[in-house]
Amino acid sequence: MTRALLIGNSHVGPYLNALKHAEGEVALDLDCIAAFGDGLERYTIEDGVFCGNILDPKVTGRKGKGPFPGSEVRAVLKDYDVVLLTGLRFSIFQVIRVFRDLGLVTMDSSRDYATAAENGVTLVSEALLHRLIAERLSGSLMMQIARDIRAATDAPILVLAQPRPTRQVLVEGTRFETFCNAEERGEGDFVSKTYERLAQELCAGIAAHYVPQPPGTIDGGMFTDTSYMMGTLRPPFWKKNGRPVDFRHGNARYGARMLKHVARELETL
Amino acid sequence: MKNPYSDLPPKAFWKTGVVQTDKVHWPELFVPKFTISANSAVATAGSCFAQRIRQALADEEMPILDVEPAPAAVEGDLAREFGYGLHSARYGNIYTPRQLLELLQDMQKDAVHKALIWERDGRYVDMLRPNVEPDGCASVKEVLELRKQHLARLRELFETVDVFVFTLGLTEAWIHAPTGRCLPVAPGVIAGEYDPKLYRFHNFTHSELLKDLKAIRVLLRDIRKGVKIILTTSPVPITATASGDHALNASTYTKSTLRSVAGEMAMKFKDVDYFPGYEIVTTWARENPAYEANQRSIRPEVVAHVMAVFLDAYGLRKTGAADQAEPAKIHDDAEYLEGHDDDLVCEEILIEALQK
Amino acid sequence: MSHPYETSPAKAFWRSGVVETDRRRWPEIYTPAFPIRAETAVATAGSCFAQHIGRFLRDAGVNVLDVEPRPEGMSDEAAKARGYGLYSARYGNIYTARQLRELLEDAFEIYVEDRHFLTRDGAWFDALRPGVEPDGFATLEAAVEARRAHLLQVVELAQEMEVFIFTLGLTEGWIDRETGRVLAMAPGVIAGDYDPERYVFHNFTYDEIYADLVEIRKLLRGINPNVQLLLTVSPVPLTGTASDQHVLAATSYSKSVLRAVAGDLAEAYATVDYFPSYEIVTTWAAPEAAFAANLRSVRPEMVEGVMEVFLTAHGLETTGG
Repeated sequence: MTRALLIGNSHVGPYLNALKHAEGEVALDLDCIAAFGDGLERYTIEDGVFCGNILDPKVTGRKGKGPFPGSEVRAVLKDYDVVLLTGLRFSIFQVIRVFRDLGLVTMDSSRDYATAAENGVTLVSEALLHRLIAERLSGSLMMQIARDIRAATDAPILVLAQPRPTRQVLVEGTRFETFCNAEERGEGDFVSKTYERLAQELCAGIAAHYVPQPPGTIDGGMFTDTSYMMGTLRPPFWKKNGRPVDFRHGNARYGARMLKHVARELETL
Repeated sequence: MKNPYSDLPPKAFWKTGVVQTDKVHWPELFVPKFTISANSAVATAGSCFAQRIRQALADEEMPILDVEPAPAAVEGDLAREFGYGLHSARYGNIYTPRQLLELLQDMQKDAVHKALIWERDGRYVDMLRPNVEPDGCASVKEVLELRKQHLARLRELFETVDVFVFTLGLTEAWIHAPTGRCLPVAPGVIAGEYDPKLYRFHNFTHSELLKDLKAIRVLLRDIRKGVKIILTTSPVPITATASGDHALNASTYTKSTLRSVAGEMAMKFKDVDYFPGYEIVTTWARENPAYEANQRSIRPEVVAHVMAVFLDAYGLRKTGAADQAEPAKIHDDAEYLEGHDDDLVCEEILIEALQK
Repeated sequence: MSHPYETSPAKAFWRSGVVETDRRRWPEIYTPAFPIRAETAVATAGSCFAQHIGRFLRDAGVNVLDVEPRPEGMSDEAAKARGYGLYSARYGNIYTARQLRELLEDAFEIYVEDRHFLTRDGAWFDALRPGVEPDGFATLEAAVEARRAHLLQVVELAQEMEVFIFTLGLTEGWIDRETGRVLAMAPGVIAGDYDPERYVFHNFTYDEIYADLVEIRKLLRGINPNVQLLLTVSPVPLTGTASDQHVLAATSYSKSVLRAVAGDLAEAYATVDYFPSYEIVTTWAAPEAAFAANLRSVRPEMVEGVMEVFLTAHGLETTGG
């Protein structure tokens, strides 16, 4: 049985839940260190031991940063065959803003200067856009942890794609202007693919493997099919109009599909 | 016995104007021909030293035009590396009047040129502003469309500018022979390969520079009636010369030619002024050295003093920053030999790194 | 990536050519376009700085011409005050190219006219070289005759010279409207009165100076086809400017124009050379202060250093001062 250490934030939920509900199906002996939001920001790695140093909200009164249910406190890195990382601000949410008023000549909505001007978009070079995205992703807590773990252990590191949001982001009330903008320009697919490619490159750059979101879970390029987010078992629910709403966290189904990819990935390593 | 010097003011004499004067504030050195108000739309262009001028004006909260500002989220080093925020548009450094003239002509005609692109390992570099895209472009199309956008923005710039400050940097340049176009940097420094059949060296003479500056003036006035031009000469010496001459001679020739052309333009036209920042920096009549140990970078407090003279002459100085700039200690160590231009983007300096 | 500076020598780079070089000897700063040997007949003229060049060349044993030597028995002081031994003829300081051009034109036609003479306290002065007779002449006729004799010597000089060294000094000059001629000095400084109706200020432009020098070269080569021209620019700043500019800006403009013209002529003609004394003296990279406390006079050590560069480049013996 492969021993795995999962480090992340609330996006570890799908994996913990998938394992809980699919006991025996996935040959993974998983330990997890995770905190809500960027609660892991005070982590340390000393003498091969990863320590979460997660603040206890009951003590500090700081909400949204406490340990995720099921989280360990510390882990000895050499005890694991693989380290899995997810969430931690390594996601399309971090880069979608970059596209807001910018276009590339490879995007249909800004294929040349005239079209870009018509759509109120400033043309920039692909190189600049990529550098900008890389800068934002490289500065994420995820990349910091990944780099530090890479320096501390030889075990494979897999970065598990945080799912894209559902179409809920286009809807009044939960509206994300940046996603709407990309959707209106018809560039959702382009934006997502660009993100995926750069995420992959960045991970490869620090000798980690990026496990992309499975194509079957994707809806129209930029979104996750609602069925992979409905009824997330992630506590606590975000209630809106009395209904649990979560359009940014995968459910157990998402976790299970991703884990299949992880298993395949592990075979090739 | 009367002579024509009897009634001249103190500034006219070396003894009173230089030897005995305040050589930080240089009273009466610069008496502007026209005013700049706090609302004047000012644009800057030129060699790397022009970045200093822009910065000083921006520090005084002057409305310095920038028609190609860095996109949101592009900040700090990334912005500078990609040529944002250095000048009033993303043209990079413009070292010669010919380069500016040709840029303006392109703007007038919306002309972009496939022939003026270097290929480097599958990347494409705009020969006319190679430094604004340090990683090159992904395709020829990208180069050309970005250039079209640049030209469109330039039009906005020159349609709104009230005062255009142009810093003359070099006379030595490389010409792309097939198109006859003047390049900002030698082939092979940022990209491209030097092929003597494709590129030729040219050292612009006084007459050529004068003709180009006159043409620039006409063009600018066509677009924006009443535009004023302030010329300055960069006091930064050349990094290397292709003239066959010694660097000191070549640099002196270059700066002298530029200074004389600028002076002549200012004498000829009411709407052209010359700001003598160059002389404040380069004169031997200084109390403290103006240059770092590399004899090329200008010490920050000297730049501050120069710009204070400029701003004071227009009554534009709000802060006392320049006065407070204490003469820094004189550095001699190797670190300072490398120079202090880290905050300037200057492709011309790259030639030094290529020296064997 | 290949680039055009790959094969450039050390002197071509600011770093190796200036910062890291011997800034007293300035190796390779000057590669003569043509040689000056001990036997070369050299003539000198120009602004004050040209006097140094003549003196050092003479000390180095070069055949520096003097067609108007001082009369026997005249003291050094008196000779100097009368313009003897300063240059190769008694034309005094020639600050502008136009002045030299007009001198040569006059000489080649032995042309003298009365209007070029000014009076002060009953004495007559040559407006075109007022400094060489500080007390003036008793009569106009004597002054005219002296000028005629001078012009004859200038012709002889032009015929004898092999290398003509001319130091460009100023762009600012005063023109006599009546004669159209440029004066050696502002009216009223030595003689005459400043009459704004008659005398106008003129700041010579690049084009004018370039054209004047081309004409000078043509005139000289007309009677002496092999003559070669060596140009230098005086590093001495303006004492005063009539340009309405600040003197620092006016000096910089003047010197810049002269330096640009000199460089372009040397580039255009194989028989015109430029010696970079101006840059050696005025560069901020000079190892020691180049100017005396008045910030105008070049310190003797600096003159010596500059002349050593010149003599060494020509393989002439340096006397070491």
